[in-house]
Amino acid sequence: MRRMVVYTLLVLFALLCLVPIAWLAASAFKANADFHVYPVLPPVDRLTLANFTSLFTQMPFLRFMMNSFFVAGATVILQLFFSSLGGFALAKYDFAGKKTVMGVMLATMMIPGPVLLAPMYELIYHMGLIDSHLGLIVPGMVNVFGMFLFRQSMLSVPDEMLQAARIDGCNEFQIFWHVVMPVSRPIVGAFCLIAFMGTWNSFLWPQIILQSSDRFTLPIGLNQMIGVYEADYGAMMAGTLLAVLPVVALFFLLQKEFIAGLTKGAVKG
Amino acid sequence: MQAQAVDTAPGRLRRWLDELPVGLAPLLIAATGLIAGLYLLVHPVPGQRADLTMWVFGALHADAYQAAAGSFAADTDRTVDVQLINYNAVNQKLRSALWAAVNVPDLVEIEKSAAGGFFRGPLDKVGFLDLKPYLERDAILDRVPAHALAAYTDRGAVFGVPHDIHPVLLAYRADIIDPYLARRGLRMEDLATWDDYFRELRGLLVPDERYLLQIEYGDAWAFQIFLMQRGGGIFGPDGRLRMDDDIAVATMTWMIPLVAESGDRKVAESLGNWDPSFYRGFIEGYYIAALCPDWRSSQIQTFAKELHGKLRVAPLPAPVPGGLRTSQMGGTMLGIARAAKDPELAWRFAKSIYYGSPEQHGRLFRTTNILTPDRRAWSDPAYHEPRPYWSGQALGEQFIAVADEVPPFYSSGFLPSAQAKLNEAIVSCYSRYRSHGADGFEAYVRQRLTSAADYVRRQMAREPDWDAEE
Repeated sequence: MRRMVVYTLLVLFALLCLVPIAWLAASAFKANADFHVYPVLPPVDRLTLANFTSLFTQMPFLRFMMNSFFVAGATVILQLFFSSLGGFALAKYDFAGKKTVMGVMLATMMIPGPVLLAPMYELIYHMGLIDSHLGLIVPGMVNVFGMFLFRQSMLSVPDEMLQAARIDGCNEFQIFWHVVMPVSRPIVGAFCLIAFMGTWNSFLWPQIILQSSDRFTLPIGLNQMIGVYEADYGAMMAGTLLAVLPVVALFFLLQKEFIAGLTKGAVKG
Repeated sequence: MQAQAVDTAPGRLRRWLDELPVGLAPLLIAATGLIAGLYLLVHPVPGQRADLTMWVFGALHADAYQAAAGSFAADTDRTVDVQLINYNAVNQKLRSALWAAVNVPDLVEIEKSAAGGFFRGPLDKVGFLDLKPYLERDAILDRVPAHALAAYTDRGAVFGVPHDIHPVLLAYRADIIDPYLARRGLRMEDLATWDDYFRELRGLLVPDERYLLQIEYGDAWAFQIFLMQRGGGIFGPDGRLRMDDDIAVATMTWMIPLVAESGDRKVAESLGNWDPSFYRGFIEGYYIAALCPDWRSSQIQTFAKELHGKLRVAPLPAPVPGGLRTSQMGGTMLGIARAAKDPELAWRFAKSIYYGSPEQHGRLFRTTNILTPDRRAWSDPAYHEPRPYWSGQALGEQFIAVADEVPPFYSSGFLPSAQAKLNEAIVSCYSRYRSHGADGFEAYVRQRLTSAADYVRRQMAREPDWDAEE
């Protein structure tokens, strides 16, 4: 009986959480004229695919999507590589100034992003990366949060395993790649998903760096639909629905690894 | 041998994936990134280098300017790259560009409330050119109502030219109000003051079902319209903060009871200013009139199609007999960056899009209902043609009739901060009235506005005296 009550409550709560998603999905199929007339869903015969059609005919939606996939893909892979390497160094090596380095890294996490916009903008300009995807990828290559995540995970890898690998003739990168990373796989999955979502949804920096509409990522492209005097709500909803799908698909594909990463260490084995 | 026989392709793949040190996640992400990268490689972005760069935040503006850039190129053999940038991002992007002094556009459009923030600092360090000499040289000043330049004038310099003047009228449900007034021998235009308006239409009020006016008390939007109608403002012409003067107190003391009273004493209500529910409320007659700057009339047309032929506009009822019958809300300026490569060329393009032919402005009016400040354009037929949506009224004539009376709006770098504090004060006054009624309300309003204004004044006091530094 108690279990039934708990499950009922959970189902109700889940349904509540799904309301905005359902509204988004329903709105994507509404004509602009019906948008404010039918708060939930218009009669079936008034549902339309016009919003999706206009996404691909009135604006280069496919291009926006490809830009997003490219930027998110490249950023996540580079972030994974450098953050895991950094985490490995912080977890497994002792070197002069290690505490200072960690302190500085922690401090950088506390600086609000917008404060750094102007100096970053100037730096990226002088690097010749304004209005380029590299201007998004390069500043995102290293993620301090990721380094700490990997550091914490790699602390649990026994030093004896590393010693054994050294005795077997592995160099330091081989130890990192063949010994430490396989043990950290759950964290890799969780990190990838978090980093992908962060890059995929990133708005402020791409908005500042990108100028040519052909280079816009999805959030920037979709935002162009919100004007001051007008807004194409239907197309915006359709675009948002399509923009959410890759993240949802990725989550379902990786949910085992993601959950394993988040719960790693939660249960003592 | 037996093991090899069962080593199928899927089995090999599974094993390879299992042995991959980083797992499936990066592989999937790398694959999508790679495919996208290949797509982008075979569809490269065409390079373009224009003589002028312009940043715009409105899609309709961008379309119009892109078309104008085509004609400009044909006439002058010089090209303009018009870039559409989201409204919220253009300010941040421009600020970064100006601070870093790199990649500054030659021309840029800025929304009125954000404009003042770009005029701070010593005059010769402001990122925009003073356009007054250009306006004087080309005899444009006479064509533009003086109040339209107020928001973009700082210490005598005109850092931006106005795209619009945005007079405010009252959009009302003619299908409900006109027959009701006609039965009493009245017309909407006869309701000269707000007191007349609420008194004569009281019979249409049905608590919880129908209200006489849409006012959103949760933000300063309506309050500012009423404040300016009474001759007040958040800032004065000298940059002095005046959001707690007697006019502001009187406006607040008058406005809040309209929405905060109970039962049939409550005459105004709102379902939101910017979301779909605003239109829903208007369509269903939950409120029968709304404050309507020219640009809002266009939004209503787009999102409340059911109201076709049911709406009209009328001058705002005045606060007192003989008072102002309009106000203003919103606006956009065009500035030319001090760092512009060729300021004269930039001005030529600015002039062509802002002070071009009347037909050009007429086309914009047909699409957006936005009234240009260029008086010369007001003779274009677009402003005088009847609009079926607005019950056959010539919408342009209605806005033109009050255009010269629009009160001036004074900008400041501290405007966003003042508006935020004003919002807090409005919400607080609303709550106070709901809990205590009219008892001691005026004193509370004065204290609340003073406290909000003092906060902003403390911020302003930290501002260096730019003129003294010069």
